[in-house]
Amino acid sequence: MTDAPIDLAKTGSEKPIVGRSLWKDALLRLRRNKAAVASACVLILVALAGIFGPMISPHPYDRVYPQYVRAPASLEAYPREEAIIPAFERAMARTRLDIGEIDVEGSVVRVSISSEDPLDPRIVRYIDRSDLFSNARIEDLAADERTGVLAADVHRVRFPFGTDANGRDLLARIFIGIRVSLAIGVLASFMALVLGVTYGATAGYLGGRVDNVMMRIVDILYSLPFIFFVILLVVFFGRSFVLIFIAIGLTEWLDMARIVRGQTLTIKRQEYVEAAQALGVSSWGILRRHVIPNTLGPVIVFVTLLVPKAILLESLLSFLGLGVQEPLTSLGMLISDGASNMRGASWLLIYPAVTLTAILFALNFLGDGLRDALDPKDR
Amino acid sequence: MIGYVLRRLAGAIPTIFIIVTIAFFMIRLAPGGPFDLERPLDPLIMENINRAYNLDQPLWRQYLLYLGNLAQGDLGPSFTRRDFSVVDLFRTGLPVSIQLGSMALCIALVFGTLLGALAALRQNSWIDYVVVGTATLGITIPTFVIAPVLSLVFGVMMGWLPAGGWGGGQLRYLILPVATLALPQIAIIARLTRGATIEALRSNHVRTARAYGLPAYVVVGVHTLRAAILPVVSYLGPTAAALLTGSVVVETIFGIPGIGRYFVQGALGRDYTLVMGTVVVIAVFVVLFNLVVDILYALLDPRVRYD
Amino acid sequence: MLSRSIKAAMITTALTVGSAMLAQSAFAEVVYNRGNDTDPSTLDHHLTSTVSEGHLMRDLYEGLVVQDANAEIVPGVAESWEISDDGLTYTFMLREDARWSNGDPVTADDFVFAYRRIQDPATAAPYANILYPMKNAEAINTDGMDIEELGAVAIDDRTLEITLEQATPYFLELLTHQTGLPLHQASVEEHGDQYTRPGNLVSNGAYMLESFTPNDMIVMRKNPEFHDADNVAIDVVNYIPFEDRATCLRRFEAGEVLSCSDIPLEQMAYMRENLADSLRIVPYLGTYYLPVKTTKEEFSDPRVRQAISMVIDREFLAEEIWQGAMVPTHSFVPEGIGNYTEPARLPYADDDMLDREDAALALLEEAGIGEGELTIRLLYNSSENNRNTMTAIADMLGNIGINGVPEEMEGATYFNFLRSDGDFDVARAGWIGDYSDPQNFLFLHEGANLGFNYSRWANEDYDQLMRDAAAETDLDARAEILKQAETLLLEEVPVIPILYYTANSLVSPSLQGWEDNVMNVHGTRWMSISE
Repeated sequence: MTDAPIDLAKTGSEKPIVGRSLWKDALLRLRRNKAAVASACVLILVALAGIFGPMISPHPYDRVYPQYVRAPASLEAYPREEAIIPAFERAMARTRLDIGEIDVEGSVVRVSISSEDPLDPRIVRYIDRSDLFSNARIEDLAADERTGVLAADVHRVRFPFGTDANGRDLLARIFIGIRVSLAIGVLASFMALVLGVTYGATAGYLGGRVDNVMMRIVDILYSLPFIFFVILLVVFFGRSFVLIFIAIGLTEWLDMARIVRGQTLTIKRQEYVEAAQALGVSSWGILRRHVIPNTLGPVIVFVTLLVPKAILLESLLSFLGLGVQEPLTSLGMLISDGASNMRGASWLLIYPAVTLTAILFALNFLGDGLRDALDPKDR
Repeated sequence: MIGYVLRRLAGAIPTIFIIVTIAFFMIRLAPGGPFDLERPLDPLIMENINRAYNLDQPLWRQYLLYLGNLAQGDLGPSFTRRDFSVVDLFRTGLPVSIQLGSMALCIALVFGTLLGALAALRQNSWIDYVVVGTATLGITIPTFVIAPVLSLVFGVMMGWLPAGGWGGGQLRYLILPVATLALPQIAIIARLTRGATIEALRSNHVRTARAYGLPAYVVVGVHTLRAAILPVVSYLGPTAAALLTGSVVVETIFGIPGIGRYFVQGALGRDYTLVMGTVVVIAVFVVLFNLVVDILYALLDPRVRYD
Repeated sequence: MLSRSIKAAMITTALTVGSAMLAQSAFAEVVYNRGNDTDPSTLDHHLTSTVSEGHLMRDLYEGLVVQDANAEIVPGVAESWEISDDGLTYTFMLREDARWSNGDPVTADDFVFAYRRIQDPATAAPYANILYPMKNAEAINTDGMDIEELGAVAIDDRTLEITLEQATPYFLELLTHQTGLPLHQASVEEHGDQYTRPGNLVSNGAYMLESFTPNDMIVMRKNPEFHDADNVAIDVVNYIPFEDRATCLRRFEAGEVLSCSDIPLEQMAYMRENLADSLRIVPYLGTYYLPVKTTKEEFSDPRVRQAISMVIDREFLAEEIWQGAMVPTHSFVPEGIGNYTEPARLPYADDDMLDREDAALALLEEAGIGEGELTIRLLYNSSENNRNTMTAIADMLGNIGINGVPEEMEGATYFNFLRSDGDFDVARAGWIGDYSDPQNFLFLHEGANLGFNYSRWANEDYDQLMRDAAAETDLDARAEILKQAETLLLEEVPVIPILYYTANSLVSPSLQGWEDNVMNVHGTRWMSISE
């Protein structure tokens, strides 16, 4: 669950000729860049949260707590002390029993109960059903089974980030959102990267008629608006995670192709390329060894823009109601919901937004660090 | 060069033709039709309507009819806005979107390149960090968050500017939407400029210029910025086309009568002609701006030639 | 440089504000900026079908009878009318001072022209069926009968006689719908399909069309020829479409609009706290329900459907998911509807949820379904509230061991999918009444009504009851038959009613004359703006 630039570094390190010293060197220099190292750490942490968070979270991301709809974020445990007795009274009212004074002692609630008929042991379910209480039991049952003491444990839960409009723990939802968003961002960017760099470099390097045709195809695809693709894809194949990242990847490689082509047009006039051509190096060899590595600076800057862009595009889809399917969610979907709730339940916007910002900041600084580290001219 | 431009323009016609063809058949493949509302219509009434709009004809004939009309500049009637033809809708909407988009574009270009160049020249200073930090923040926050926040703060709480609406294009109605559109673009352009400027500062010809002892502003102004602006120009082509053809989010949230909403409204409402019209308009813009980018590239970078 | 341009901007702003204020005081017009749901699909009322279009038509045109601020039927163009004893013939006497906005008198022929045009197949009016009770209307619209045969005849300029196919107790209600409005024959014939353009459109209501900018606003100006113009207090209405409810709320708070036709439910708590005197939540003639695909084997057993219905905690949905902007219901026909008694109710409506869950489990067991054996896909069309509702229902179904899986579908595809017998288990649907009569709700589930009967439920007894009700002219007896039909419906629950809609609006305290009513009709002519 790292990001694309790291993958690049990996593939590069397998190339023996020019590669080894360049990539090794780059890695060394990257390590010296404190901001980049810190960003990498943040990203690793966030990725770990996305991978393992849903497993270790005390609340499943799709668990609904009907009693805690839109509970504000708080470090204190729910239920609040003052809320216990009224909630217990409400639950007891459903049992239609005569009840005495309610007594809260630590995390146990007790009340004496009596009824005209023998007490039905099933009444404890009324208490257990509430999210607030668990393990309800009848103690001190009298011989005639008409009076007794009903006891229940107060079930304390924490929602450090609050709950959403359905009463689900926002922290757990953010964990799963990170997983989905990062996966979409990374996969879509990777797809765009591979497609875009290959295509753009080929077009730019070969030039002439081939370039013309290839860029015309890009123009055509460009002019077909993105949402159009996605709506149709979603309509045909149903909404799925894979579909969304493919749709975003298919749109984003066009930008990449244009930028790489622009760079390539410049690079191919450089002396060393001409030298390689004179030496009879094949086109693909020149592309691989000279053109693509030299476009990497701007490309990496662009990828650091692309991952966030992919995540944001996904959020636009969520905004239009075409995002991932419930109960899954994404950071974009959480933010989109948060934006419409921002005046009543600001925590729904703040925490997902802060998470997304942290991810994107880290991606940016890491990208900058990589760019500085990879710059072949400054060796 | 003129020959090149003319050739490209002539080449644009088949491009647009292909786009129209793809779009026409793609939207027709989607299930649902323009008159599938929550309140379904009587099948017989539906038949009457389909006949009135030629939707009962075979698809290939509808396609030929559409092409015929398109050649005469007629984009057909809108299915969901039946008092207007698609051309009517663009006649009122396009100027609005262009006005908004071009203002945002100019602002983004000026502020973005200035900030980016500044950050690059003072690399690793606090200016750099502030610019990069703010730019990152600008890219991070989706417009559907920025727009309501701006409207809320400046429109509702402060009451300085209208919270929404177009007001016939008066300046005070424009400020918030333009700001919303420009902010992320400033951020992206600043980052692109910064990256490219740093690159350019290290390049041989700038080093040479420095070695010759040319004044700093000449080095920066003439040698560096020209090279640094290339990725920005690349980026601007599609961005300009996108900005000038309107933004769904900004137009929806501020209630602006541009054409940005038509595509989504049309696609979700299966307003075939409106969607097609939008596709044609966007295609024309994209083709034009791509051409402009290529020409600018040639002007800015003498190494690039079009033969 | 920077500060100078900001200053310049501020000066410009000040100037614009100043001149706007000057302009306002010079004319002293009363302007009402009115939020509407969306733009109309057209201003040709024969081609309209939505509530937001109804608001516009009510201001532009006046029918034979109109609804006042309280949605009571009062005389419109007709100053009086007579109904024959058999309920088949309505004779309307038109007022003498009724005028079109160009000064022409409104005649009985204008109504005949309009009623013929809407049934003409060439018009392709989506709502022609509302007026099918008129004699021969259906035959003209669908069978090619000559339009001259329509049961609407101008006896003279000021007398209109309408004959019906069969007695229809809610006929006057129907005439208040936008399909019952007249048209100015001369201008429609002159301009053809361009007649709705500003400048071409001739109307007979309290307002006339000044301009229409899509996605911006529709401007209407007071019609000086209107017979009651002296009592129309507002000079200009600007109808502003708001696809985004939150935008309307912000502009409402900024004082830029005086009313919103809908509200952002997510901000309900905020509005209750800060805009309590403007927030109007009013019961409405509409039902939010869940069709169950009865032709599927696992749902063909009414016990299974009943079990699903039992475990749905409607109070929770209304209060927590919809934030009080919906009313929990155990009936299909909304309360407060005309020509009806109290709607029938599901028998367990008042039972405790836990008892209901026990009963539901027992029913499932009888039907031979054990815990965890049934998985139900819950289909809904994209919207945050639908999504939250289905998520909550999935959780409730979990309480009786049914595995509920929410499944979202994009809007335009959705209804087509339901209608064409798409493969769903349980879906969501909503129905807003066109007129205040239970028939308008119960006809949805008739076996032959393939357009609306999403659950494909076919019950001969039910269909027979509906036919009996249509033939019955005594209102009380008819109400009784319809109630039997609803009771049968609730016994079988092919559709599970869960919520009644409410009409939610924001209305500025300075706007007088916006009276809450179950039809959610608010003609601008009844309103005024206090300072």
